[in-house]
Amino acid sequence: MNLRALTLSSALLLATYVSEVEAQSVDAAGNSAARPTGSPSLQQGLLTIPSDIFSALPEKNATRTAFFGDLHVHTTYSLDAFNVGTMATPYDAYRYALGNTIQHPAGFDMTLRVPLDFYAVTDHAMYMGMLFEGADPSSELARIMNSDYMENFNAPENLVPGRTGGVLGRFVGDARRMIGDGTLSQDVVHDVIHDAWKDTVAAAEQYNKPGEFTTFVAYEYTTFADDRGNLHRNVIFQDADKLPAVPFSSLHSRNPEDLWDWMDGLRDEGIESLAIPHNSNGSNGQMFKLVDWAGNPLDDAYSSQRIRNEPLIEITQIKGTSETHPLLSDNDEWAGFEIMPYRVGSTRPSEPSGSYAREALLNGLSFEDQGMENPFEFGFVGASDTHTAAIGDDESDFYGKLGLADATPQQTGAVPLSAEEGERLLESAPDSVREFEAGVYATGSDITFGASGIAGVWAEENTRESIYNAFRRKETFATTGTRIKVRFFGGYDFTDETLVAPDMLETAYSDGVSMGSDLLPEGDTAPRFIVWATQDALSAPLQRLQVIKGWTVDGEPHEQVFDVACSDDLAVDPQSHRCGDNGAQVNLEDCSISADVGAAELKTVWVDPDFDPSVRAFYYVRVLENPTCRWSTWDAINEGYEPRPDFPATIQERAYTSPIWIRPSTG
Amino acid sequence: MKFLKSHVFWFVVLGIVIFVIDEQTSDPLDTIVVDAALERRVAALWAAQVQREPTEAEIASLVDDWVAEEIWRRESIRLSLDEEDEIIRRRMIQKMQFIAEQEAELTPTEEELRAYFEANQERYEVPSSVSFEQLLFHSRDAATSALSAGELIADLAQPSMQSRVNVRQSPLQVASTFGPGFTRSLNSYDSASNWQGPIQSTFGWHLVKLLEKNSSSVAPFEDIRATVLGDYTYELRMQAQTDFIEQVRPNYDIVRKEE
Repeated sequence: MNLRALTLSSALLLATYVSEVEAQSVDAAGNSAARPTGSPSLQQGLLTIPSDIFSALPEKNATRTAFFGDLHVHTTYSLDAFNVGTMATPYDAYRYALGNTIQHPAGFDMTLRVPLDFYAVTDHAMYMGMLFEGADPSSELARIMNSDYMENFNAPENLVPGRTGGVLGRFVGDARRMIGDGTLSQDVVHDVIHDAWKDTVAAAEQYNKPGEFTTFVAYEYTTFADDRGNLHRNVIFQDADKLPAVPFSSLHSRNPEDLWDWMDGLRDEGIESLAIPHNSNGSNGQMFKLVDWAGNPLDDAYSSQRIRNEPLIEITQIKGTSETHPLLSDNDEWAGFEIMPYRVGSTRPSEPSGSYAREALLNGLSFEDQGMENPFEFGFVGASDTHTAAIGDDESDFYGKLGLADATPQQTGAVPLSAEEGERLLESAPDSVREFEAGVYATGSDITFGASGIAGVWAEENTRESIYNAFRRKETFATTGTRIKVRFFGGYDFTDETLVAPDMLETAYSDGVSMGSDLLPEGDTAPRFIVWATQDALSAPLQRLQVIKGWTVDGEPHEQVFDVACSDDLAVDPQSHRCGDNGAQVNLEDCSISADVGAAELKTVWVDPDFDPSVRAFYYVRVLENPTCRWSTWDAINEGYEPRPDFPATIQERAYTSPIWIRPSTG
Repeated sequence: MKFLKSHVFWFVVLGIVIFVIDEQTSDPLDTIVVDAALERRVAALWAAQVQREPTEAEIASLVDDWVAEEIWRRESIRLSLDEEDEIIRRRMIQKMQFIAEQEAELTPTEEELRAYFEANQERYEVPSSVSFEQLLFHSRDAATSALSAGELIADLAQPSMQSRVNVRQSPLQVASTFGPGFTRSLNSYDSASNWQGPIQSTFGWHLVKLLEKNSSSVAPFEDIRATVLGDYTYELRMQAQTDFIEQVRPNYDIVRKEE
């Protein structure tokens, strides 16, 4: 049987079962079995309007399946990937995502722990393919730029610490100057970028297999504010039938609002896309600041354009977590998770305020309190941001993201440098190292990196259309690398019986809303949430489910973390809203974890005990695994060292759902 | 004698001959030849940068610049500045490798390509996969009694986070979703149109309907021709480099010096 026929017949099979289940439930309970919520009864009339929903086109797999993917992957066409020895092409990237082995620039093999369902290569649009082209001495670009110095780009002596200096810095400087003075014409630059872009599209088209594996045509728009606050976004195109000849880059404009204008313009021509900001954590407060590029307060035009183009943000990736920061959420004991404290690509500190998602969600509510549009009504995805074409989400086998620049545990700082190298750096660059008993360790952003993350979506089928629609619905979740699955529904009629009924998901979708949605108010009734997660069967069991609530009173932000389900039959303390300790341990000799502690599945219906129908609020779920070894601990153990003392030896892998929003009916 | 046919061999021999003749006959003065070909080359490079053709005067001045650069270059070689420079060294190695590779026949015939594919089948293996439906139950007993429920079987199941229909999943994917134990049990079943089980997973007890089972197989040659060609060409290039070194290495006396 060929695959398409199999997929189709499976879908038909499923549709048949779904309709059978519906038919049976109506038969069993009489004609009033399907009961939509809140519909007024019409007892006065001669006829009662039947409440059954009629669907002319029965939806296939209406209760949706979780698919996992990565929407942030760099290959040899990215200048800073080529610069660190990455030769892997977009084709290699897709082969890797399907489970094939490709090579790390340092020569070792990389194979994905478990193949992914979708993948998008997102090379930097600025200078896309230009190092690749410029390093070929016979190319026109190389002749014009006289770029002999690029031929040996990734020799060890050219891989300077800081990575943006050296040969790469010289190339960017030369290119800017030559484009500026016309030595390097727009046509030549656009030709090179167009060729790389065309190849990127061709690779995505070659590997996209509806029903089996989805690719997206995509790229990264890479721009910085004047203070080097990171404003990077990935642009994901819905289809590949019609695309711009070259991607809009920071060489066209550094102002993200111009990117949105361009995307809006494309949309008018029938080219649909969305942009996903990332590393707000390294933005020095720029990503979610409350003024626009020109410094004016945000108005409705700005907000609606932003949220139209940016319905999602990347909440976790290799360069750290962007959920929240201990300084912003001092009552959240889990806020200090994989914090990357620097501005991207530097070791200058990044200001937390304006840099994290939870605070932005709260500011979004404040805008609404003032009767304004909400620019920050976004959902969450995770991604890797790898620069080797291969994602690094496995703590026990993490190879960084920067090719030759962080290929060894000595380079990342997981284990001490050689004695000579340590001595040399203590003398010449004391800020780049830290000395402990075991030796001198490299210290920079690399050691703050995390082996993260993955995007999860709930979609009907593994196709571009279905998955892209899930992005638009914000029916998405993020994980820090493991394949946790999590469902989150808001409604008013969910009970403990709903949780165990065979048609639970049909009920959840018909009587409630899923993650990423608005739940309309129903008088003063408190909302009831279905919170449900299962573990990655090859990772640690779950420890607890949490609901994170944010709300505003008269524009003042408030937040609260509620544990809502605990493993091991532990109860939530009604005062502290915390689960009891399940005592899960990690053995730091070999990274083994406690057996028989934790849960494969946690599921509950949760009612907000403090619900106030007069305020705006958002709710999202955070799922926590039992602790496991951090990648730096695995690396240290493998090399015969203790984990370095200034970073946590263990982490709790986690998942975050997109929020559900509730507003007062009168608001 | 195979090496007599090799261009590289004659390249090296000719080089030695020219070197010897040059040593004995060369003029005390170094000669820099300026000809029409050179003029055309500098003019073309200039035109690519400036986007128009140079004038006669500009060509003359470009040639002057080139001559000056050539003198710089030769003076630097006189001082052996090329010898300690890693970039120049690697660039020359790269050029020589290109020449060595050009020796080899890099476009294999269809037969050679197929033979290579046949000989390296393990590289082109597609892992095994299963397609199945699954239902989750509270207990082993609940699952077992559901087996006799016929059409109503799904009504007896409990909600499952994992998909009911799973299409073409590799053993690794199944293990990541349901656990390694479930994967082993599933593999022991044959595909059938009826429900089988129960099987235990990380999450409880399941009944499964095994729709399709594909053992691992080698991808059809036609589907991966481009990949095979890429792999084979790469191998031929590497082989050409190895052959070259083996051929020329006898010309060198490698002396190890102790510190």
